[in-house]
Amino acid sequence: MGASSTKDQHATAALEGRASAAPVTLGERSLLALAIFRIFVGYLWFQQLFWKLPPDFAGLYHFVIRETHFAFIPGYSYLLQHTFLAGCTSPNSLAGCTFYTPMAAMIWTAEFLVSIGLMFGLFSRLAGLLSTLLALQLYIGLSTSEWYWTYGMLVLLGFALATVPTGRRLGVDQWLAPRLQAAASHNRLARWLSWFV
Amino acid sequence: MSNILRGLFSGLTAGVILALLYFVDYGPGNDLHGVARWFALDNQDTGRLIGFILLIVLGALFGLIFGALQRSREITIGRAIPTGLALGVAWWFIFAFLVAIVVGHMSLAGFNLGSFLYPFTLCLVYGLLLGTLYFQSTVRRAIKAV
Repeated sequence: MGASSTKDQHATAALEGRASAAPVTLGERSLLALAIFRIFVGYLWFQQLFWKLPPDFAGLYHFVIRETHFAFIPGYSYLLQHTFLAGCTSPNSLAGCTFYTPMAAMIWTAEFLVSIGLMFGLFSRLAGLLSTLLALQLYIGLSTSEWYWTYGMLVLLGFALATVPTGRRLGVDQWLAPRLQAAASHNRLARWLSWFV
Repeated sequence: MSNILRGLFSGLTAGVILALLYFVDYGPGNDLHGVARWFALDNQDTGRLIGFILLIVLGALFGLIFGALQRSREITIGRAIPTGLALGVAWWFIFAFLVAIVVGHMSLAGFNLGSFLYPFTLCLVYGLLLGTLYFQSTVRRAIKAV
């Protein structure tokens, strides 16, 4: 009697454990809601492209200067001053800046890729990862100058989108993912790329 | 549900999402003036509302066209996305570019990366939404039928 009761308890515990650790499958509505969330976060990045447009990316200059004042990691300001702002002579003009334009172009391109990736659900997890890195850089440079959580939330939004495959609804990843997964067994590149959809 | 009706619903939904995207900016809804401007219907008081409604109406119209293009064929995701994107490009070319120039609310001289990229990308987003929503509705119907 006692032995069989202990056995029953073990069986129940095993069943409970298996049930609570079972993979979570999201319903269609949840997937669509996450896809819309992804599009709006992508739009957030997209709108930020227009106040720092090429060819001079002048709108960004003021914020890079601010980052040199507010960065909370020691040495970060020094790094910015000797890379991004090398040769710059005034906080109000780009005169003398040697590396500013190519580095600003890289930032602009990265933000463009993030916005396209998220809005179109094209390699959406890669776009989420890239947005996390970009937001982390903003967090380091600017979070102490504004409401601390503004950039913290931006980091977390990117992280959430890197962890969930939101591009598989209302996105190009819906077409891409099964093809990459099918090719992954015999193609290493497809296997790597399939991590990002 | 017929393909045309399914296209209408998909277009309406995509149009509403697009209108919401246009509504979200630094001063909520300021970009909706731009949509009203395509048709020379912008004014201080009602420009935003006109822009908002126009986006939904145009969304429904292009949804109808999408549905009509499918005839009675079964759609695949591989066809839904390019067809939607093509309609998005058509929307941009006809309304955000051609009509806006004809009514004199945009000039080729003032055409730059910013004035091109913003509406063009959003029209493409609309097209993608239209195609994927349409595809999703046919999948849902197929699952129900099984």
